[in-house]
Amino acid sequence: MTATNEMTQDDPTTMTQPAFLRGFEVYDVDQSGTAIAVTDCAEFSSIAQAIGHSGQPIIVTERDQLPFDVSAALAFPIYRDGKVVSIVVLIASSSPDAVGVFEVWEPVGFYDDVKLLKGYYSKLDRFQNVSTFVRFEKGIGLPGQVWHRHRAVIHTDLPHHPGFLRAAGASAGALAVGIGIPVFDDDFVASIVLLSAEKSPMARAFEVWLPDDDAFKLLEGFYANVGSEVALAPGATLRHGEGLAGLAATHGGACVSSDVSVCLAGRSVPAVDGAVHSGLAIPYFDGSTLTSIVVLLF
Amino acid sequence: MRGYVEMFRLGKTYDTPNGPAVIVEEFDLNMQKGEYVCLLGHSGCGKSTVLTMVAGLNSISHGGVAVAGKEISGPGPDRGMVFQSPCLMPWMTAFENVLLGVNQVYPHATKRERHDIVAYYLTLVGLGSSLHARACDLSQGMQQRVGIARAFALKPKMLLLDEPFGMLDSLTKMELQEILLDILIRDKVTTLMVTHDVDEALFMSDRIVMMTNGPRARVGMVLQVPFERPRVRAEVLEHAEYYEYREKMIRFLEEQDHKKQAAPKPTSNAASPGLGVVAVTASKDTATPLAS
Amino acid sequence: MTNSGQVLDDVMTTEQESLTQSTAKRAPRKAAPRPLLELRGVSKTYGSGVTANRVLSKISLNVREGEFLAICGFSGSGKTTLTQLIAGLIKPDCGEILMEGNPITGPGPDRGLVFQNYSLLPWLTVRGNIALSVDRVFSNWKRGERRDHVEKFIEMVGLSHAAHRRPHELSGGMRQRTSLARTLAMKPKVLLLDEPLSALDALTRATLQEEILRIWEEERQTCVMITNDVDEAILVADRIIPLNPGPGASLGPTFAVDLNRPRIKTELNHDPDFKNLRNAVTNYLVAVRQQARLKEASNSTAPPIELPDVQPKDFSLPTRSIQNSPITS
Repeated sequence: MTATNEMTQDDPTTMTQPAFLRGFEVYDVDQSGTAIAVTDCAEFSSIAQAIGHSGQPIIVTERDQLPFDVSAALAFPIYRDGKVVSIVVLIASSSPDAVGVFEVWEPVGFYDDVKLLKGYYSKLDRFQNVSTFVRFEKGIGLPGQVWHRHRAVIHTDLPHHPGFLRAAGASAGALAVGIGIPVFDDDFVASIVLLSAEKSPMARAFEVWLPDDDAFKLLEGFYANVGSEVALAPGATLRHGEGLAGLAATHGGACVSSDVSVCLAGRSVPAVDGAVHSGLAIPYFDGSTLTSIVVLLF
Repeated sequence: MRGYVEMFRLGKTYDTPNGPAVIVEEFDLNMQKGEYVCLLGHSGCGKSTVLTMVAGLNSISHGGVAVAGKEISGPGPDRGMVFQSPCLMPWMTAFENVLLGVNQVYPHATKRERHDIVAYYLTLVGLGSSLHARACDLSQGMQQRVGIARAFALKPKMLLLDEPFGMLDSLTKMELQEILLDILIRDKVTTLMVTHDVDEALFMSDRIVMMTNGPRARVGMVLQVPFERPRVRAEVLEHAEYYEYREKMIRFLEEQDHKKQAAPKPTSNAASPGLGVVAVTASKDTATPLAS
Repeated sequence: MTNSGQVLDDVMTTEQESLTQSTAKRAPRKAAPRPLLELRGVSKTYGSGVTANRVLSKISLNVREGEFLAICGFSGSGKTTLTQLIAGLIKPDCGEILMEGNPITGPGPDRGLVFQNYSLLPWLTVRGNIALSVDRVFSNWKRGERRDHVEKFIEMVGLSHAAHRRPHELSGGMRQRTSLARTLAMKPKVLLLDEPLSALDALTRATLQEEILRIWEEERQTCVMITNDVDEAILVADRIIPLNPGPGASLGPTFAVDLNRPRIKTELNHDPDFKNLRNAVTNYLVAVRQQARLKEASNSTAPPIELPDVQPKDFSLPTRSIQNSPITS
C-alpha cells in the first residue's frame, strides 16, 4: 500500500517556516491493524500502532511522553469502509513563538452535542478555558458542521467568521484559519479541529477539495506564506488523479509528497514558488465514498 | 504621610429623643492624589454618610475633611458627585443637562469651548450619537452615562460616587465600569466610591475600605488591590489572587451580617431616623447639584 | 407450529445480532430525541424602510425536555422580543417556531410566561389569581380537584399564610411568587422566565433564585430563563446561551454548566469550575459588547472632538482676590 506514496529524499518535515509544526508523520495501516510508516520520520509509531487498533484520535501533551522540542502530538485515523487505512500525526513545536491549536471533539449525551475530548492550545489559555465549557450541536460551529456535513470544513478569516462563536473574549484574534476533519467509523467518532495562527501558520497553504464528477473542485483555500501564483480561487479544479488530491484518491488514504509539481498541480506555472517543498493530503471517506480532501502545503 | 484627601476622626451623630445616635465614628482615611478608594459595606452601615460628609452635603459632627490642603465647608464643584440615579432635568437633552454645569464652572470660557467640553465628555461615555436626545427618552444606563459625563466635564479635584451603578443590570454595569476607568486613565481624578458589590470594588479600586456595621461604623478592614492598570476585566478575573480577595471580602461581609443579627435591637432603631435625614439631604442637593 | 418455529428463529437472530453489536467498539448512537421547543432561523424586524430595526437575526435554538436553559444578554438586545416570540404573542418575519414539532400559532397554556412585572389582577387575592388561571386551563376538572391543585401551588411557593391577601398587600418578592405559582399551576410544558427577578432587591432575588431551583428540581419542569446576570445563570442553568448585542442580535456559543446540584452560592465561590466558567461567560459577553461598540463607532462619521484647554474657575479664589486687590477705577 505504501507504493503509491512518494517517498522523499529531503525530510519533508523540516521547515524553517512555518514554525508551529515541528513535523508530521503518515502511516498506512494494513488489514491486521499494523501501522507502517510512510514518512521517514516515525517517532510516534507506538501511538500510531495504538490508534491502528483503537481507531480513536488522541492528543498527547504529557511532557514525559514527548521529545523535549515537542509540546503536543495530534494523531488521528482515516477510515475507509469502516476500517482504519491511514494515520496522520501532527507534531507541535515547543517553541514559545509557536501558536496554534489542536482539538478533538467527541459526541456527548442523548442530544447531538459535541464536547472537547482534549485540546492543545499552546499559550492560548483563555481560549482553552472557553473551549472546555462550550458545547456544539450537530451543525453548529466548526466541530458540529463537520459532523453534520460528513466532510472536511474550512473557515478562513477566522476572527470575523460568524461560525467561530467561541472566539470572542478568548484572545483568539491571532488565529487565522480553521480546518475541521470528521472521523467516522460506522458512526460519528470525533471532529478533529486545527486552528492556525497568523504569525506561526501550520502550513503555507490550507485547501479543502471536494470530488466533482471526474475531477476535484477547490471548496476554499487559505494561503499563509506563499506567492500569489500559488493561491487558487474557490472553484478551481484538478483533473482526476492530478495533484495531492488525486494522489490521495488513488491511494485511498493519507499521502505525502515532496514532488513540487504534484504539490502545485493546477497552477498555470508549476513549481513557481520556491518556498513550497512538500505537501500532505488527508482524505475523508464517508463509508467508501470520498467526500473531501484536506491538502496542506509546506 | 499627609494625603491629598484627608478624613480625620470623621464622625456623625444625630440627636434623637433617646439620646445621641452615633452613625459613624473615628473614621480615618488618607487618599493619595489620583487614588481610587472604595467604601464597601452592607446597606445602612454608614458608608454613604461618610461620602455625603466629604461631599459637603451632610454636616460633619466630629473631625474634618480636607481636599488638597483645604478643609471643606459645604459642597463645591471641586468635588463631583454621581448618585445611583443621575437626577437629570428630564425635559432637557443630554447636552443641555451637561452644559448646565459647564456654563457655571467655566464662565471664562468661550461658548464654543464650553460646547466642545460637553460634546467631548458625552462622546467619551458613548453618547456621541444621542447628544440631543431628551433625558426622559434615555434608558437608565444612558442616563447614568450623562451623569458620569456631567461629573467629569466639571474637572473636579475629587469624584464621589454613591453606588453609581446600583440600579443597572449587571451587564450594563460592567460596561459603565469600564467606561469610567477609561476616562480615569485620561483624567486622573481622586475617587471615592461607595458600593456593596464585591466584584465592582475589586475591578475599580486601588484600595478597598471595608466598614463595620453601624451604628458606630468604623474602618473594619483595608485591602490594597494588586491588579495593574490599565485594567482589562478578563485579566483581572484571571489574576491568581482575584477569587482569594473576593472570598476575603465576602467573609468579612458575612461576619458583619452575623454581628448585626446578634446586635441588640434598640441601637439599630436609633440608626434609622439618622439615615432618613441623610437621604433627604442628599436628594435635595442633587436637584441643584451645582449650588456652591 | 411452523409459524412459532419461525418466530423463534427470528428471536435467535436478533439476539445474535445484538451480541455481535455489544462486542463491537461502541453501540451505535441512538437518534437524538426531538427538542421540546425549536426555533429555526427566526428573525424579527420592527418598522420598515429607513427606520427598520432588525432586533433578532436568524436565531436557532433547541430547548430540551426537562432542562433549565438560561439566555444571558444585554438590555435592549432583543431578550423581550425573543420571549414574546416563543410565547406566541408576536410572529417572526421569517423562520419557524415549533413546539413538539408543531408550529406555534399563538399563545397557549403549554408555554407559561413569568414577567418582570407581575401582571396580577389587583382585586383578586393570591388564591383568586391562581384559581382564575387554573379554572380556565383545567375547566374539565372537578371543582375539588381544581381547589386542591391551587392549594398545592400556593404551598409550593410558600404563600399559604398570605393566600387571602391582595397584590397591594404583598411585597415584590411575594407578588413574584404568586405570579410563579399561577404560571406553574397551569402545568405548562415550558416555563418562560423573562428576567423574573430583576426588579427585586438582592436579598429577595437570592431567596427566589433558590425557590425557583428547588421547584425546578422537584418538578423537572422545562425552563427557559432570560437574564442579564451571569452568576444567576450559572446558579440555575444546565446550559447558558449568550444573546449577542443587537441590532440584529444572534446567539453565541452554548456553555454547559456541569456543576453538581443542588448548587449553593457560598460553596460555588470555592469551586474552580465555577470560577473558570464565570470568567469564560463574562469575558465572552464583555468582548461581544466591545465589538458591537467598535462597529457602531466605525459607522459614525462625526469628527473627533478636541477637549479645549480650559480649567474650571476656582471658586475659592474670587472672595480672597476681592479682599486683597486694591480698588481700581
